[in-house]
Amino acid sequence: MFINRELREVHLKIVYYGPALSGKTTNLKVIYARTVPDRRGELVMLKTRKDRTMYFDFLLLELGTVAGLKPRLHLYTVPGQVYYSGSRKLVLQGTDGVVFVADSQVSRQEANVGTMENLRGNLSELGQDPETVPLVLQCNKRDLPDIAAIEEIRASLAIVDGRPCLPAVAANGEGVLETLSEIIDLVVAGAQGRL
Amino acid sequence: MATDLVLPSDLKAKIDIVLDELYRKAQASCVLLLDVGGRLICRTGALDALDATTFAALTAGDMAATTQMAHMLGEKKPFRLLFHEGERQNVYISCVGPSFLLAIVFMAAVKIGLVRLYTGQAVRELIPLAQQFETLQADYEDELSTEFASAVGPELQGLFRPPVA
Repeated sequence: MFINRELREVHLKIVYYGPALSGKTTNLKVIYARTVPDRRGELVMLKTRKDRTMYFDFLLLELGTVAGLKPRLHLYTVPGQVYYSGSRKLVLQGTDGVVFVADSQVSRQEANVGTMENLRGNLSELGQDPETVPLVLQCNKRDLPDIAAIEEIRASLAIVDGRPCLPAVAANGEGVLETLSEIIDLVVAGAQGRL
Repeated sequence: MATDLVLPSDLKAKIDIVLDELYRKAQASCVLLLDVGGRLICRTGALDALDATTFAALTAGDMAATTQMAHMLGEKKPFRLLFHEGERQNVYISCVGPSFLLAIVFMAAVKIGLVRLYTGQAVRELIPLAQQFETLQADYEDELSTEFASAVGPELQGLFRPPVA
Protein backbone atom coordinates (compact mmCIF):
# COMPACT_ATOMS: atom_id res chain seq x y z
CA MET A 1 0.00 0.00 0.00
CA PHE A 2 1.18 3.47 -0.77
CA ILE A 3 -0.46 6.57 0.66
CA ASN A 4 0.21 9.99 -0.80
CA ARG A 5 -0.89 12.12 2.12
CA GLU A 6 -1.05 15.40 0.24
CA LEU A 7 -3.08 14.06 -2.68
CA ARG A 8 -5.11 11.86 -0.28
CA GLU A 9 -4.49 8.86 -2.52
CA VAL A 10 -4.30 5.24 -1.35
CA HIS A 11 -2.70 2.89 -3.86
CA LEU A 12 -3.35 -0.84 -3.51
CA LYS A 13 -1.59 -3.46 -5.59
CA ILE A 14 -3.36 -6.72 -6.35
CA VAL A 15 -1.72 -9.50 -8.34
CA TYR A 16 -3.58 -12.24 -10.23
CA TYR A 17 -1.44 -15.36 -10.00
CA GLY A 18 -2.00 -18.83 -11.42
CA PRO A 19 -0.86 -21.46 -13.91
CA ALA A 20 -0.75 -20.91 -17.66
CA LEU A 21 -4.12 -20.43 -19.35
CA SER A 22 -6.07 -20.42 -16.08
CA GLY A 23 -7.82 -17.15 -16.97
CA LYS A 24 -5.86 -14.36 -15.28
CA THR A 25 -5.84 -12.05 -18.29
CA THR A 26 -9.51 -12.88 -18.89
CA ASN A 27 -10.31 -11.61 -15.38
CA LEU A 28 -8.69 -8.26 -16.18
CA LYS A 29 -10.42 -8.04 -19.55
CA VAL A 30 -13.80 -8.56 -17.89
CA ILE A 31 -13.06 -5.96 -15.21
CA TYR A 32 -11.96 -3.50 -17.90
CA ALA A 33 -15.07 -4.12 -19.99
CA ARG A 34 -17.36 -3.67 -17.01
CA THR A 35 -15.76 -0.50 -15.64
CA VAL A 36 -17.07 3.00 -16.25
CA PRO A 37 -14.56 4.38 -18.81
CA ASP A 38 -13.54 7.53 -16.95
CA ARG A 39 -12.57 5.51 -13.86
CA ARG A 40 -10.07 3.20 -15.50
CA GLY A 41 -6.68 3.48 -17.18
CA GLU A 42 -5.61 1.71 -20.30
CA LEU A 43 -5.58 -2.10 -20.15
CA VAL A 44 -1.93 -2.81 -20.82
CA MET A 45 -1.11 -6.30 -22.06
CA LEU A 46 2.49 -7.27 -22.72
CA LYS A 47 1.93 -10.29 -24.91
CA THR A 48 3.97 -12.63 -27.07
CA ARG A 49 2.99 -13.11 -30.71
CA LYS A 50 1.06 -16.17 -29.59
CA ASP A 51 -1.12 -13.95 -27.41
CA ARG A 52 0.32 -15.19 -24.13
CA THR A 53 1.25 -12.85 -21.30
CA MET A 54 4.99 -12.27 -21.47
CA TYR A 55 5.65 -9.91 -18.64
CA PHE A 56 2.41 -8.74 -17.09
CA ASP A 57 -0.97 -7.17 -17.74
CA PHE A 58 -1.87 -4.00 -15.90
CA LEU A 59 -5.08 -2.15 -15.21
CA LEU A 60 -5.56 0.90 -13.00
CA LEU A 61 -8.96 1.56 -11.45
CA GLU A 62 -9.94 4.74 -9.64
CA LEU A 63 -12.57 4.60 -6.98
CA GLY A 64 -14.35 7.79 -6.01
CA THR A 65 -13.61 9.53 -2.74
CA VAL A 66 -14.00 7.14 0.19
CA ALA A 67 -13.90 8.60 3.68
CA GLY A 68 -11.86 11.53 2.35
CA LEU A 69 -9.42 9.28 0.49
CA LYS A 70 -9.05 8.38 -3.17
CA PRO A 71 -8.34 4.67 -3.52
CA ARG A 72 -6.48 3.55 -6.65
CA LEU A 73 -6.38 -0.13 -7.49
CA HIS A 74 -3.40 -1.46 -9.41
CA LEU A 75 -4.32 -4.83 -10.90
CA TYR A 76 -1.54 -7.00 -12.33
CA THR A 77 -1.39 -10.46 -13.80
CA VAL A 78 1.76 -12.56 -13.96
CA PRO A 79 2.71 -14.83 -16.86
CA GLY A 80 1.67 -18.42 -16.25
CA GLN A 81 4.42 -20.24 -18.04
CA VAL A 82 7.18 -21.66 -15.87
CA TYR A 83 9.95 -20.06 -17.94
CA TYR A 84 8.74 -16.62 -16.91
CA SER A 85 9.10 -17.38 -13.22
CA GLY A 86 11.59 -14.54 -12.78
CA SER A 87 9.13 -11.93 -13.94
CA ARG A 88 6.40 -13.33 -11.68
CA LYS A 89 8.55 -12.57 -8.67
CA LEU A 90 9.29 -9.06 -9.86
CA VAL A 91 5.61 -8.30 -10.41
CA LEU A 92 4.86 -9.53 -6.89
CA GLN A 93 7.06 -6.87 -5.31
CA GLY A 94 5.06 -4.69 -2.95
CA THR A 95 1.82 -6.57 -3.49
CA ASP A 96 -1.02 -6.01 -1.04
CA GLY A 97 -3.05 -9.04 -2.05
CA VAL A 98 -3.15 -12.00 -4.38
CA VAL A 99 -5.95 -13.60 -6.37
CA PHE A 100 -4.95 -17.16 -7.16
CA VAL A 101 -6.76 -18.16 -10.36
CA ALA A 102 -6.87 -21.95 -10.36
CA ASP A 103 -7.89 -24.00 -13.39
CA SER A 104 -10.67 -26.33 -12.20
CA GLN A 105 -9.99 -29.06 -14.73
CA VAL A 106 -8.76 -32.29 -13.15
CA SER A 107 -5.90 -32.44 -15.66
CA ARG A 108 -4.59 -29.05 -14.42
CA GLN A 109 -4.44 -29.76 -10.71
CA GLU A 110 -0.75 -30.52 -10.77
CA ALA A 111 -0.11 -27.19 -12.50
CA ASN A 112 -2.18 -25.41 -9.83
CA VAL A 113 -0.16 -27.00 -7.04
CA GLY A 114 3.17 -26.19 -8.69
CA THR A 115 2.20 -22.55 -9.22
CA MET A 116 0.99 -22.21 -5.63
CA GLU A 117 4.35 -23.52 -4.41
CA ASN A 118 6.05 -21.01 -6.69
CA LEU A 119 3.87 -18.21 -5.26
CA ARG A 120 4.70 -19.12 -1.67
CA GLY A 121 8.40 -19.36 -2.50
CA ASN A 122 8.43 -15.99 -4.25
CA LEU A 123 6.54 -14.23 -1.45
CA SER A 124 8.96 -15.65 1.12
CA GLU A 125 11.95 -14.49 -0.90
CA LEU A 126 10.40 -11.01 -1.03
CA GLY A 127 10.07 -11.00 2.76
CA GLN A 128 6.28 -11.44 2.84
CA ASP A 129 4.70 -14.23 4.86
CA PRO A 130 2.66 -16.36 2.41
CA GLU A 131 0.32 -17.38 5.21
CA THR A 132 -0.69 -13.82 6.06
CA VAL A 133 -0.72 -12.13 2.65
CA PRO A 134 -4.39 -11.53 1.75
CA LEU A 135 -5.36 -14.22 -0.74
CA VAL A 136 -8.53 -15.19 -2.55
CA LEU A 137 -8.81 -18.48 -4.42
CA GLN A 138 -10.81 -18.31 -7.63
CA CYS A 139 -11.68 -21.73 -9.09
CA ASN A 140 -12.15 -20.83 -12.73
CA LYS A 141 -13.62 -22.72 -15.68
CA ARG A 142 -16.47 -24.23 -13.67
CA ASP A 143 -18.41 -24.68 -16.91
CA LEU A 144 -16.01 -27.27 -18.30
CA PRO A 145 -16.47 -31.04 -18.00
CA ASP A 146 -14.20 -33.14 -15.78
CA ILE A 147 -13.52 -30.55 -13.10
CA ALA A 148 -12.35 -31.06 -9.52
CA ALA A 149 -14.57 -30.13 -6.58
CA ILE A 150 -13.78 -26.74 -5.07
CA GLU A 151 -12.98 -28.27 -1.68
CA GLU A 152 -10.63 -30.68 -3.40
CA ILE A 153 -8.80 -27.81 -5.11
CA ARG A 154 -8.59 -25.89 -1.85
CA ALA A 155 -7.17 -28.94 -0.03
CA SER A 156 -4.62 -29.72 -2.73
CA LEU A 157 -3.38 -26.11 -2.58
CA ALA A 158 -3.22 -26.26 1.24
CA ILE A 159 -5.35 -23.15 1.55
CA VAL A 160 -6.56 -22.83 5.10
CA ASP A 161 -10.25 -22.54 5.96
CA GLY A 162 -11.48 -19.00 6.19
CA ARG A 163 -9.75 -17.77 3.08
CA PRO A 164 -12.35 -16.88 0.45
CA CYS A 165 -12.80 -19.38 -2.32
CA LEU A 166 -15.04 -18.52 -5.28
CA PRO A 167 -16.26 -20.40 -8.33
CA ALA A 168 -15.96 -18.57 -11.64
CA VAL A 169 -16.43 -18.78 -15.36
CA ALA A 170 -14.28 -15.78 -16.22
CA ALA A 171 -14.81 -16.23 -19.95
CA ASN A 172 -18.41 -15.08 -19.54
CA GLY A 173 -17.77 -12.82 -16.58
CA GLU A 174 -19.16 -15.02 -13.81
CA GLY A 175 -17.42 -14.60 -10.48
CA VAL A 176 -14.93 -11.98 -11.69
CA LEU A 177 -16.26 -8.90 -9.92
CA GLU A 178 -17.12 -10.95 -6.84
CA THR A 179 -13.49 -12.10 -6.66
CA LEU A 180 -12.23 -8.53 -6.97
CA SER A 181 -14.60 -7.38 -4.28
CA GLU A 182 -13.40 -10.14 -1.90
CA ILE A 183 -9.73 -9.38 -2.37
CA ILE A 184 -10.25 -5.66 -1.81
CA ASP A 185 -12.09 -6.34 1.43
CA LEU A 186 -9.24 -8.58 2.55
CA VAL A 187 -6.55 -6.11 1.53
CA VAL A 188 -8.17 -3.25 3.42
CA ALA A 189 -8.77 -5.45 6.47
CA GLY A 190 -5.16 -6.68 6.26
CA ALA A 191 -3.83 -3.13 6.18
CA GLN A 192 -5.90 -2.23 9.22
CA GLY A 193 -4.59 -5.34 10.96
CA ARG A 194 -1.02 -4.12 10.49
CA LEU A 195 -1.74 -0.87 12.32
CA MET B 1 11.22 -2.89 -0.35
CA ALA B 2 8.54 -2.03 2.18
CA THR B 3 4.99 -3.03 1.29
CA ASP B 4 3.48 -0.03 3.05
CA LEU B 5 4.73 3.44 2.23
CA VAL B 6 3.32 6.78 3.33
CA LEU B 7 4.53 9.98 1.70
CA PRO B 8 4.08 12.92 4.08
CA SER B 9 3.37 16.37 2.63
CA ASP B 10 6.68 17.90 3.74
CA LEU B 11 8.72 15.16 2.10
CA LYS B 12 6.61 15.33 -1.05
CA ALA B 13 7.31 19.07 -1.22
CA LYS B 14 11.08 18.44 -1.06
CA ILE B 15 10.89 15.78 -3.77
CA ASP B 16 8.72 18.03 -5.94
CA ILE B 17 11.35 20.79 -5.81
CA VAL B 18 13.97 18.40 -7.24
CA LEU B 19 11.59 17.05 -9.90
CA ASP B 20 10.46 20.55 -10.93
CA GLU B 21 14.05 21.74 -11.29
CA LEU B 22 14.93 18.71 -13.42
CA TYR B 23 11.78 19.21 -15.49
CA ARG B 24 12.74 22.80 -16.20
CA LYS B 25 16.50 22.46 -16.73
CA ALA B 26 16.29 19.27 -18.84
CA GLN B 27 13.39 20.73 -20.86
CA ALA B 28 11.44 17.56 -20.11
CA SER B 29 7.84 16.79 -21.05
CA CYS B 30 7.35 14.80 -17.90
CA VAL B 31 9.32 13.54 -14.89
CA LEU B 32 8.21 10.61 -12.73
CA LEU B 33 9.56 9.17 -9.50
CA LEU B 34 8.41 5.62 -8.80
CA ASP B 35 9.43 2.62 -6.78
CA VAL B 36 10.80 -0.57 -8.32
CA GLY B 37 7.41 -2.21 -7.72
CA GLY B 38 5.87 0.28 -10.18
CA ARG B 39 4.11 2.60 -7.73
CA LEU B 40 4.15 6.22 -8.86
CA ILE B 41 5.42 8.38 -5.99
CA CYS B 42 5.58 11.89 -7.50
CA ARG B 43 5.27 13.38 -10.96
CA THR B 44 5.54 16.62 -12.76
CA GLY B 45 4.71 17.53 -16.37
CA ALA B 46 2.26 16.65 -19.08
CA LEU B 47 0.99 13.14 -18.34
CA ASP B 48 -2.32 12.97 -16.50
CA ALA B 49 -2.66 10.89 -13.33
CA LEU B 50 -4.07 7.78 -15.01
CA ASP B 51 -1.50 7.68 -17.78
CA ALA B 52 1.37 8.51 -15.43
CA THR B 53 0.42 5.64 -13.11
CA THR B 54 0.33 3.18 -16.00
CA PHE B 55 3.57 4.62 -17.36
CA ALA B 56 5.16 4.02 -13.95
CA ALA B 57 4.09 0.35 -13.95
CA LEU B 58 5.62 -0.10 -17.40
CA THR B 59 8.81 1.72 -16.41
CA ALA B 60 9.28 -0.64 -13.47
CA GLY B 61 8.65 -3.61 -15.76
CA ASP B 62 11.19 -2.25 -18.20
CA MET B 63 13.83 -1.89 -15.52
CA ALA B 64 13.00 -5.31 -14.06
CA ALA B 65 13.54 -6.99 -17.42
CA THR B 66 16.92 -5.36 -17.90
CA THR B 67 17.89 -6.20 -14.34
CA GLN B 68 17.54 -9.85 -15.33
CA MET B 69 19.73 -9.14 -18.35
CA ALA B 70 22.38 -7.58 -16.12
CA HIS B 71 22.21 -10.60 -13.86
CA MET B 72 22.69 -12.98 -16.80
CA LEU B 73 25.74 -11.01 -17.87
CA GLY B 74 27.24 -11.41 -14.42
CA GLU B 75 26.70 -7.80 -13.34
CA LYS B 76 26.46 -7.54 -9.58
CA LYS B 77 23.99 -4.65 -9.67
CA PRO B 78 21.15 -3.66 -12.03
CA PHE B 79 21.94 -1.36 -14.93
CA ARG B 80 21.89 2.19 -13.60
CA LEU B 81 20.08 3.71 -16.55
CA LEU B 82 18.04 2.96 -19.63
CA PHE B 83 17.52 5.11 -22.68
CA HIS B 84 14.77 4.77 -25.28
CA GLU B 85 14.98 6.82 -28.45
CA GLY B 86 11.79 7.61 -30.35
CA GLU B 87 10.99 9.69 -33.41
CA ARG B 88 9.43 12.51 -31.42
CA GLN B 89 10.19 11.75 -27.80
CA ASN B 90 12.82 9.94 -25.78
CA VAL B 91 12.72 8.33 -22.34
CA TYR B 92 15.61 8.23 -19.91
CA ILE B 93 15.30 6.04 -16.83
CA SER B 94 17.74 6.11 -13.94
CA CYS B 95 17.95 4.17 -10.66
CA VAL B 96 17.63 6.24 -7.49
CA GLY B 97 19.26 3.94 -4.97
CA PRO B 98 18.09 0.32 -4.85
CA SER B 99 14.34 0.92 -4.46
CA PHE B 100 13.35 3.85 -6.68
CA LEU B 101 13.47 4.93 -10.32
CA LEU B 102 13.37 8.27 -12.07
CA ALA B 103 11.86 8.47 -15.57
CA ILE B 104 12.29 11.55 -17.75
CA VAL B 105 10.32 11.99 -20.98
CA PHE B 106 11.73 14.64 -23.29
CA MET B 107 11.46 15.79 -26.89
CA ALA B 108 13.90 14.26 -29.39
CA ALA B 109 15.34 17.70 -30.13
CA VAL B 110 16.69 18.03 -26.56
CA LYS B 111 20.31 16.97 -26.22
CA ILE B 112 20.74 13.71 -24.31
CA GLY B 113 23.90 15.07 -22.63
CA LEU B 114 21.84 17.84 -21.05
CA VAL B 115 19.29 15.35 -19.74
CA ARG B 116 22.00 13.05 -18.46
CA LEU B 117 23.79 15.88 -16.65
CA TYR B 118 20.72 17.22 -14.86
CA THR B 119 19.36 13.76 -14.14
CA GLY B 120 22.62 12.85 -12.42
CA GLN B 121 22.31 15.94 -10.22
CA ALA B 122 18.69 15.18 -9.42
CA VAL B 123 19.47 11.57 -8.52
CA ARG B 124 22.14 12.71 -6.07
CA GLU B 125 19.60 15.00 -4.40
CA LEU B 126 16.85 12.40 -4.44
CA ILE B 127 18.83 9.51 -2.91
CA PRO B 128 18.76 10.85 0.68
CA LEU B 129 15.10 11.84 0.32
CA ALA B 130 14.23 8.39 -1.03
CA GLN B 131 16.10 6.74 1.84
CA GLN B 132 14.23 8.90 4.31
CA PHE B 133 10.93 7.99 2.64
CA GLU B 134 11.63 4.27 2.61
CA THR B 135 12.63 4.12 6.24
CA LEU B 136 9.66 6.13 7.51
CA GLN B 137 7.36 4.15 9.71
CA ALA B 138 4.26 3.61 7.59
CA ASP B 139 1.83 5.21 9.99
CA TYR B 140 -1.50 5.41 8.23
CA GLU B 141 -3.82 5.10 11.20
CA ASP B 142 -5.34 8.51 10.44
CA GLU B 143 -6.24 7.50 6.91
CA LEU B 144 -7.37 3.91 7.23
CA SER B 145 -10.40 4.35 9.41
CA THR B 146 -13.16 1.79 9.90
CA GLU B 147 -15.30 4.19 7.89
CA PHE B 148 -12.90 3.83 4.97
CA ALA B 149 -12.91 0.02 5.16
CA SER B 150 -16.68 -0.23 5.20
CA ALA B 151 -17.17 2.29 2.38
CA VAL B 152 -14.73 0.80 -0.14
CA GLY B 153 -16.99 -2.15 -1.07
CA PRO B 154 -20.06 -0.08 -1.97
CA GLU B 155 -17.87 2.43 -3.84
CA LEU B 156 -16.43 -0.44 -5.87
CA GLN B 157 -19.89 -1.44 -7.03
CA GLY B 158 -20.38 2.09 -8.37
CA LEU B 159 -17.34 1.59 -10.55
CA PHE B 160 -19.00 -1.06 -12.67
CA ARG B 161 -21.68 -0.78 -15.28
CA PRO B 162 -24.23 -3.54 -15.76
CA PRO B 163 -23.25 -6.26 -18.24
CA VAL B 164 -24.62 -5.87 -21.74
CA ALA B 165 -27.48 -8.34 -22.22
